[in-house]
Amino acid sequence: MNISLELLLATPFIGGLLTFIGGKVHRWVRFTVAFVFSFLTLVEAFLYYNSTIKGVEWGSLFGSKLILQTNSITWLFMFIVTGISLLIILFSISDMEEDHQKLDSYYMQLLFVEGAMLGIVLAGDLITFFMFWEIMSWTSYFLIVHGGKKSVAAGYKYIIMSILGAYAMFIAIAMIFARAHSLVYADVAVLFSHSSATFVIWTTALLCIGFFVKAAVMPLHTWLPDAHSEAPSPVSPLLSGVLIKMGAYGLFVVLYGFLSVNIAKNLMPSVFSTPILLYIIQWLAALSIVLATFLAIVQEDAKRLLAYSSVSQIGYVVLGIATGTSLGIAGGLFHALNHAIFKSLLFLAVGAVIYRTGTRNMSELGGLVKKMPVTFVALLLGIIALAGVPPLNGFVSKWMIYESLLQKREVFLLIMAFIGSTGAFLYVYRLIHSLFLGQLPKKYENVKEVPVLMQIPLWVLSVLTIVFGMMPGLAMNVIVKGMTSFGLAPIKYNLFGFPSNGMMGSLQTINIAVILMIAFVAVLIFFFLFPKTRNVKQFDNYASGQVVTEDLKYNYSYGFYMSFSRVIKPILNLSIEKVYNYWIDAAKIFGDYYMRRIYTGNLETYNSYIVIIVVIAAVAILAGGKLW
Amino acid sequence: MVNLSNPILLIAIPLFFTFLIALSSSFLKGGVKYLPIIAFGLNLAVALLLIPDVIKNGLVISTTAGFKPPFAIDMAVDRLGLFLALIASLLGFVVSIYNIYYIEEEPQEKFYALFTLLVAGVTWMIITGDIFNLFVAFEVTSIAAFGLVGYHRDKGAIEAGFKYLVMGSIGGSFLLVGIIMLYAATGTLNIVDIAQKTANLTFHQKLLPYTFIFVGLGIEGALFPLNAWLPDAHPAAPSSVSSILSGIMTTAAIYAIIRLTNTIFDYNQIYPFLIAFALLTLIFGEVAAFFQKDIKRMLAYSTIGQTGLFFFAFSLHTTNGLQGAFMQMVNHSLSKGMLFLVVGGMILQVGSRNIDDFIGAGRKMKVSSFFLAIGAFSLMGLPPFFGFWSKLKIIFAALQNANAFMVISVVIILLMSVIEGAYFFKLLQLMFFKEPAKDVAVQEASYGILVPVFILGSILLIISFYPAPIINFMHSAAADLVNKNYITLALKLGGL
Repeated sequence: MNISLELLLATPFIGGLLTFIGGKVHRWVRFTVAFVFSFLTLVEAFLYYNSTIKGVEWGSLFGSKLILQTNSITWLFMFIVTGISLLIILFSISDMEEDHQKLDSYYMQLLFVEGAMLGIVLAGDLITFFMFWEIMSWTSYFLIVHGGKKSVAAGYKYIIMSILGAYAMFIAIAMIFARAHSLVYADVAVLFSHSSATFVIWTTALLCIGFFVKAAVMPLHTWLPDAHSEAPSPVSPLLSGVLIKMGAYGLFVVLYGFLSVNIAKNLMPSVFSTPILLYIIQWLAALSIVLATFLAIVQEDAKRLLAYSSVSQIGYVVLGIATGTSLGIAGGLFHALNHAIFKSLLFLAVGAVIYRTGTRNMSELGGLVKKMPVTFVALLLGIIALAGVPPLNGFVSKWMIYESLLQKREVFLLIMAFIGSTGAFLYVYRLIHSLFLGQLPKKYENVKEVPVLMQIPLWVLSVLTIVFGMMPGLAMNVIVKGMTSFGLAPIKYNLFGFPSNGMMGSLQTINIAVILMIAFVAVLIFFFLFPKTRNVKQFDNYASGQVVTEDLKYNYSYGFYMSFSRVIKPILNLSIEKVYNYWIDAAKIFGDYYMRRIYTGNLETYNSYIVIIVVIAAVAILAGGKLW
Repeated sequence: MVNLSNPILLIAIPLFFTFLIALSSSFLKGGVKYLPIIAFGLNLAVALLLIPDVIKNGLVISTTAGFKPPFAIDMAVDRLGLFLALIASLLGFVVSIYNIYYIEEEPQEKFYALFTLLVAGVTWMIITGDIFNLFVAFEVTSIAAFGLVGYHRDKGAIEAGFKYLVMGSIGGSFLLVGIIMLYAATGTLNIVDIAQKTANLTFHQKLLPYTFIFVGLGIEGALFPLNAWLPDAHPAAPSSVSSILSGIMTTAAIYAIIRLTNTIFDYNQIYPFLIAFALLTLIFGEVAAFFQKDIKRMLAYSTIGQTGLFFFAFSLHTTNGLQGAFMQMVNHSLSKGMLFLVVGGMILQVGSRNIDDFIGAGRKMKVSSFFLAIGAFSLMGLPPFFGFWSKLKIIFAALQNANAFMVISVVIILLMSVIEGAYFFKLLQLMFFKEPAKDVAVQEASYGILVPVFILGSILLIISFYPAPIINFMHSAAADLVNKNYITLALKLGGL
């Protein structure tokens, strides 16, 4: 039985309001309502597995129908949105222990953001899409600024850039409306199929600006490192894992729902058999991958590191979607799912560390592995997945993207994607080393594992990284079915990977797992064959000829990749944000200067304006209205 | 039985109460403060009773003194006039409630008399069918407003009141000269009658009076660069008066421009110039608002910006554009009217108009700041508030026949919207999220202030979630204006 799409969409909003009211009664009422409603949303979303509904009209505005629809791609993003939101609400219950008045609105906003994102993916026309897009922007703004002092400035930057991006989109939508007189996706696609190249390029580019601000594709990413790192711990995974994926979803809909590769090829010149527009997007994505990776490597703040890593990873998603081949698109969409899983896992694990230690500065932490083993395992799985190492999920989707680039022989992009992956090893190692390995600072000796409610999301996500890593076919079921409904050629797959097919190499996760298992057993045998190592206590040691004592810090993790960062310093100094700030400051000075000269506060000046206007008008009229 | 759905009552009732307040203040003492509520309560009822008639006939005309137009004064209400009159009565009613708790300074009876006169004048401007009456209403409004702006009698208020007095008088004179020229050319004062006769006028005979009338009304209607009195006057006035000034008075002047431009001076080449005026107004309003430190001054500049926005939509000269303009008028009147009321209550608590003193006030005054946020969001055009629908309509209308000029205009409008977002979010974030330096001793505003705010806020929320009736109504109003139904119906119904 299917419940109606309207009800699915309304559930989180109703839940949000009820949570707010419930919070006035008791805190547990608030938690229960928030949990129940996000769980309900997840269940309702699951009911739509494998179902395609084309167009439920829920209203009309200015002669354009307002439509809700669902298909398998929608379902994929619905799964990300509802699943991660539920886990985040679970995690928040223990993590957010502040002023209860503020928490009421926190949970309400959390559910509202979830609802808005559901609205975006369920939208079947651009007005609905745009409406929920804007709702998502301002509701998530309120979530970001929950994070305390610094988050206010970060949130401000976020909301201004979001509005700017949304208005770029707005112009495109209005231009489409003027021609098609309808904003239903199908009608837009019809319009695009017989429009001029100029029109298509302009509207697509404007829409993409809106998406890229949200998806934080360089050079529009500047809000992300601040917002994601300053937001409260449970909000960061929502932003990094889910919210920026909305940009990827929008890009997919525009590129393959409105436009299609064939139409695009007819309209514009091609490079590497890719339409030029897609090619530019690919390069922006590749630049995001490389530069953000470099930036992530030199961060000292664990959440900021993850934030830059998100910019880099979303680059893979966009790169995959923009390849224009079925394999690449499937890889991009799969990477969106995988990134949602492992980045949420990482942010939550770091959030757990922050919850116990109160700092996210990596050089102050270390040696927590024995104190917080569950978090350690979760973070370990997360970084393995992120680095794209088999058999976890990040590997499969990255493999698909590499493979599609190889097939298209786009060597430069391939190299950049590889650099991003290699760099990922550097920063994820830094992360786990600084947090969990090395010397335990004395002040953290009494740190305990996080409460069970916070462990549950970590467990669930850890299992998911393994499940999707071993059985990519589960996700491919959904993605390939969705892609066929968008008219893209299906790719061959089975539960454990991809059979060899022409140019394409085969990938069987089960084989890889077997090989890894053999390697593991071999290492184990080695380990047992050779003489036992001696367990050494932390201070049963010496360094520089001196006995190590507790107060001596022998394990530095500040400036971890100092030599590397010296090499890439010229790149790091290129900051697009400085350029933006320069222009904003210039505009402010200019505006202030002229405003003071126009609104002088002097009555004579004001009256002279009236005289000037009358004179100009009189001259214009006497000239016969020909001043134009 | 007296027919209550008579437009003339909309003026007669508040005028009667104005004199009643002045005369009865000696024995009613403090009781006069309740009289405006009765007056505008009645007005609101009359306006509501007019709705079915106007929807049925398209135009309701009432004449005075037993003569027939064009020789008698007549009131003509079509859809456009009706919704503005409704807003004027509503704001008048709500702000009267607000005044009871807000106005404490003496002389109160003069304040209430002037206040009633102000709203009466605004309503008069909106529903008059006669161009000389327009001038009279304009002057009545202005005189009441001059007095009210200077009501606080401190240095700033008197300076602002004086500036407004000078500029408003210049505006009135220009308007009068324009009307005289028109009268000289056509020999009549009835709007419809003039419209009938302008066809035989020469180019100069038509445009010269238009320029004068436009400048006169433009001063009151806050068009750049004629609006320089506004940023001084609106903040200096008591907040309840600012609410009326910003909420409906500038809108009424713009209404008069729209009415006259459309009915009398049917001259299509004028519209590009109007667009230029609108864009300049928008740019200077929003940019100036961004730099303000005084919260009421910020709202006043924002009024200029919003005026530019709906004047732009009107200047598009299409049904869709007019529809967008009218929707934005409703949005602006309700939101800005409410914002001034909220801010007035907050200023009473905070004791300053400087926005830096509002840091942390939002956490103490939860209800007030909630409504402030709603009003700000609606003005910014964020969904799901009503401003979103009107902004959507305006942008769609502007790009309907997309040419380069229109695209640039839209880019300007949206950039200004971003600036608007920048200053409103700056205000909201310092009220809610910034840590105050010291604990601010601020309490929630009293019920007398919250109830009017609540009324306006609820109406805004209702039309946000059920925009369809308003959107459809505005569509008919816009179609009426484009098809010149005002003239046709007036000829048919005997408004001439």
